[in-house]
Amino acid sequence: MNEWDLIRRSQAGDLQAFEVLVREKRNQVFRIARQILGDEEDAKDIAQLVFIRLWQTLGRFREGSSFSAWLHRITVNLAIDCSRRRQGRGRVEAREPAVLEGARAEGGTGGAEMAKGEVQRVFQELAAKLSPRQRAAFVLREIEGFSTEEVSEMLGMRISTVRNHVHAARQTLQEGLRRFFPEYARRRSGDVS
Amino acid sequence: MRLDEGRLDPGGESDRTRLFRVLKEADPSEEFWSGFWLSVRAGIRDSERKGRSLTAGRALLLGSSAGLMAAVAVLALVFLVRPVAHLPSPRTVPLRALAGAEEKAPPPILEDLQSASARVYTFHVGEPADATDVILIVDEKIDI
Repeated sequence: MNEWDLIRRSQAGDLQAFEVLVREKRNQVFRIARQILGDEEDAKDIAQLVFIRLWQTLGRFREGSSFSAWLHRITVNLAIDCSRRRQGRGRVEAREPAVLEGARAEGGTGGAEMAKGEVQRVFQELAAKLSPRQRAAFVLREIEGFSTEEVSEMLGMRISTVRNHVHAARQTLQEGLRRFFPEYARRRSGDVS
Repeated sequence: MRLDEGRLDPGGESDRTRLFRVLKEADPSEEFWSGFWLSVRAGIRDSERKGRSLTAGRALLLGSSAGLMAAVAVLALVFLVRPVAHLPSPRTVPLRALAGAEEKAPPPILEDLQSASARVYTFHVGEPADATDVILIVDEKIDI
């Protein structure tokens, strides 16, 4: 069953179809929320809210629109709201992502897993300096690999604004890498698997 | 230089943030998701239950508003009509009512209203010793 079939059946109230849709999309939703929030437990909670919201609003989704943009717009909005609430409570520091830490510890053989865990840690530390929207734009564009036009649709921003956010985020992260993690500043992406 | 192409220099070699692209591959394990769907489903059912009770609440509110408006309309009619009931025009009081006036004057019977759509309601109000009748005339064509 393709994605549109699942959407149509979910719109008709088929929870089994919706469960399949959730299973297919949960990793990406979680990844985006985690990179925006820097905390995997919060990200999991947000992912849960995203799918509840998706179920509630799916009736308004129309064929021909981008489901990915629809879903990730919900994700980004909920994650940014959560991030702002946390900032309001004075909790802005990034925590060590336990999932990747676990993978690092249990993987044993995984030099690659260790590298990813380390990159995750570096990103959380440096991205804490970005505004929620800069961070969301960078995550969607540079990590998830969506086009600028798609990010613009997801964030409800003009394309030029997305470009500005991505540019500002990249500069902040580069500067952070140079200053605090010079060993990574010398590597390129191909060096880390 | 285009800013949206993932690089700050034309060749892209010095864009160190490309390092973070590996994070796209960092998915949690299957165990991490255990219970996730159950939570989502519970959340959906909870939100649907709340939605239903909210709808019922709205209906109740609308219903009570309609009831309140009806009550206000009835009260308005009572105040408008009651003086007429206490001061009936001779034309509205039948002769048989006047004939028994010495015993106990019954409330005027307004059955000779000219409007065919008028309905007359009589309410017995107060203690038996001090009872009085409130006569309510309902007519959709009354121009209040």
